[in-house]
Amino acid sequence: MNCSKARKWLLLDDAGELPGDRRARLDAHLRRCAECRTFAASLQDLRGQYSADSAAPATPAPTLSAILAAARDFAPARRRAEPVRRLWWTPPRALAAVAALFLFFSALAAGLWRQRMTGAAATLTDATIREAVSTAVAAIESEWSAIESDLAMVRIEIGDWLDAANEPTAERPGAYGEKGAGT
Amino acid sequence: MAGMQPIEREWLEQYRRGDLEALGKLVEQYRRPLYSFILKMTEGRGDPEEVFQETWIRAIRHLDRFDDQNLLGWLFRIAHNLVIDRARKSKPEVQPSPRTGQTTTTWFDQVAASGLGPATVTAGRDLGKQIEAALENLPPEQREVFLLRMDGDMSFKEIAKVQGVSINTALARMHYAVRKLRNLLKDAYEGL
Repeated sequence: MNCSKARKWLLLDDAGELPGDRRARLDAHLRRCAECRTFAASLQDLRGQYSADSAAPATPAPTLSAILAAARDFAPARRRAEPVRRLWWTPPRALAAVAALFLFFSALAAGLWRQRMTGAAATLTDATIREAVSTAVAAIESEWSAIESDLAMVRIEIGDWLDAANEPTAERPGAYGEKGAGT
Repeated sequence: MAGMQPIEREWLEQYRRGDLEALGKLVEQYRRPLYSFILKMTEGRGDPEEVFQETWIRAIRHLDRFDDQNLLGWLFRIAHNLVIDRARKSKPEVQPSPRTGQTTTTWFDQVAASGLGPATVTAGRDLGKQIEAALENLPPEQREVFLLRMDGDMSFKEIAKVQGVSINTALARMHYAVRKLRNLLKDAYEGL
């Protein structure tokens, strides 16, 4: 693992987004890299010392009144409920849905097979189906977050690869308009 | 960010049923991180209180678009768009120099100063205040990622969504921000 990747993983770890199976690799890198240990210490120092408290006075009465006045005008209870159309089939969601379906049917088949092997009942009963479904749901739940984390990590890996292929990356214009300072 | 707390969800539901007092509680609950973020992103350009108010009013108007996952993250996203809009509106003030044809003040100059500002110098030995002052010296995208992480406790996945960039870019911005802040505050840390 190089230092650039290790620091991204450190930041992800700080945000609680690093998949658990990467932790050991990160620790191994930190043990032998003093610069990354310094970076980790800097992050912790900044987190420890930085506080936003001083910058936030209580909401002034006129501000709160204006917000509540707007809320009165746009009260959700008064508005006609309109169905919100959302795009559900984005590629990661579609992939996750396919994986979930695969897991569901695999677990269902496994549950039925196990039931058959134990010889408890050869026919489908409500209890058999319930057990198979609950096994499948448990499998999906345990896999779901892992799939999401893995997709995020794949995006990072692809980004690293693209960055390496398109050096330098620091010239991308930012949303605020300037060049070379955004990344 | 772990998402909304149960009490926050309850207040939101109460507001949806018409309870304005519950909305007031939500405004107060998110006041500190949201106002702090706006204050540091507008730094001397416009009234942060006005942006704070406008953020909430937009959120209220478009509440039917909120996906019920993370209200604070959504508010940050609205505030981000308002700050960007205001920065863009101030762009026409940049005039080319009549002699050279070059701009006398770049748009970037308006958004972020360079070098240690007077606030850093006067911040004294209070490290927290020095960090706040040093933030002014970061490019706005990096400063924003830092604030969204520290003030908003947002995940990089959410930050990437707010900024409309890849998670990799959001991570790179935070990496640069931490490194630059550490360099800017080197003397302060050594003096401890």
